[in-house]
Amino acid sequence: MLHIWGIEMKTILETLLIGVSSGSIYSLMALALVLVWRSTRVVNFAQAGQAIISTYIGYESMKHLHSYWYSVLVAIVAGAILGAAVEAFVMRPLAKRVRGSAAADIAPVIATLGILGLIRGVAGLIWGNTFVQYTSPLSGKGYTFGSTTIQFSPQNAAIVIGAALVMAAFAIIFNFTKLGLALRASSFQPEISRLAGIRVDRIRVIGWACAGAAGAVAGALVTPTAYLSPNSLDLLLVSGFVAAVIGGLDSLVGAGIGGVVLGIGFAFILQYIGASVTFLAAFIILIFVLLVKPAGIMGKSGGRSA
Amino acid sequence: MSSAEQAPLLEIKNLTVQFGGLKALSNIALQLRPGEVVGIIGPNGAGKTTLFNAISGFVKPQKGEFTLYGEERAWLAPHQLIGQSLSRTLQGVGLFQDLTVFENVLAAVEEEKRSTLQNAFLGGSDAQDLERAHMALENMYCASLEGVKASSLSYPDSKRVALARALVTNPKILLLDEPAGGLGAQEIAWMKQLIHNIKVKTSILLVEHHMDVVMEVCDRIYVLNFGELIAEGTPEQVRNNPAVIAAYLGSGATA
Repeated sequence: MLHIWGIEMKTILETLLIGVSSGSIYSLMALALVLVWRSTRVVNFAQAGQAIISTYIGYESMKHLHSYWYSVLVAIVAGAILGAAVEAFVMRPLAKRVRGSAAADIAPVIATLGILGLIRGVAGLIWGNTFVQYTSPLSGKGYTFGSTTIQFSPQNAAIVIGAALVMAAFAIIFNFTKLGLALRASSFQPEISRLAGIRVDRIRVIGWACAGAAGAVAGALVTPTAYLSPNSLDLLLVSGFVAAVIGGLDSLVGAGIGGVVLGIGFAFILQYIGASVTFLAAFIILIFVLLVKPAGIMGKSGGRSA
Repeated sequence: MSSAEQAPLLEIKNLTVQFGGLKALSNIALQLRPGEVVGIIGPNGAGKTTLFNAISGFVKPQKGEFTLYGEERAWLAPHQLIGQSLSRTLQGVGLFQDLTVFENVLAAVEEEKRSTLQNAFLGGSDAQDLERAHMALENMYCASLEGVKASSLSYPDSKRVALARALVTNPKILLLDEPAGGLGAQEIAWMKQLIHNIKVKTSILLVEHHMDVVMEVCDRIYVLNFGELIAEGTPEQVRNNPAVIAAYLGSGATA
């Protein structure tokens, strides 16, 4: 076995792969947060709740569809509808109510915390506060090369591929379609967007729907590697948030890179320092990024105008 | 003037806008005829911007009739302007800072086709849209700036790009909000020439603080003070109107 400075090469590669896999999930969550931030300037704490409901719906649908992959599609559709509904029926009326008041900036964020609590409570009532298993046909056992088995499993591979596909899809939509142009345009200057003929309210609903779909992919892909409970995606929200901040909150590419960087960082901390500091590390990284480069690695310097 | 006999493109009657207890505009009447440049002037706080905001749908009037192309109809919402062949520029820069110059113009030209969801998701920009956006920039002498991010444009350049975006849809009516604001003498001369050139195809409603620009480019002028119409007429008539002189002297500015 190859050793460099006494550290086993296999362990490094393994840690790297695991990091990329968990990082892909963080990227998806970060992407969801960035999409909402870009379309409505709201940090959506309810994203974890929306993803949980979508994942439960995927889990339920699997009982009837008998196919994990179809159930992932159901979860994605559910996530998109839920995201659109939260924007259309809660966030938009709320924003109209508080417009111009001192609470205009903070009330929507507090509301997302409220929605998170509400969704968790409802999920607990429907599915109980217990752990259930949402299983994938792919093995959770690591790949074996000759006599060595690594920690990276086919499900991990599916996570990486799935996240990459979602990221690529959003990159294409954002950069090469009319919808993407409208999404990018309306993020900061709704007045100008309206004068350019863009229906900003509709674009915002689409932004939330896209975010909900991305969050659902994250939930449905990561859950087979663990368990499903009303709280099981809470840590993912924290990681996604840190990843989004690393990436600059405004940047889709930043969210992708931020997630993978964070995932790899966590994997190495877990491997070489210990599980007890991983969670702590998330917050240290968060505060460090905010202090040193508040606009994130892909963000622009200077304040926002909106 | 020949345009006096033609039916107005845009006509407003009895427009009243109220913010809480404050009357921002009361009983305003206004007409814009084909080929005209019509100025709206008045001291600060007279209601000029509110009038523009009412026409472009950012402010809901309490009262008033809105007639467009001879047909009385409901007041427009901002996103409907382009579809009704109206464009508006905003005070200051008014561009999407994050997008390139080309994307800024393209965003407006693509509106008509964004109507179906399928088209919006899957449709890219067709060659005709790209060409139109390019031509609009070319007309404003900004084609060389196409790939530049709006945030890094000089102020006069960003004004040109904003005009290109407003004109890319070939509107019948253009609402120009302080086009000369913040510009130097040379750029103001260019702006006057531009207004003169486009009024053949596009009638213009203009809010502007530079009196020399207003007096030179406008065919007719409406004067607002404290939300009320105190005078209207040709630049010559308005310049010699005692009420106008009093309003401007009263506010410390010169007419």
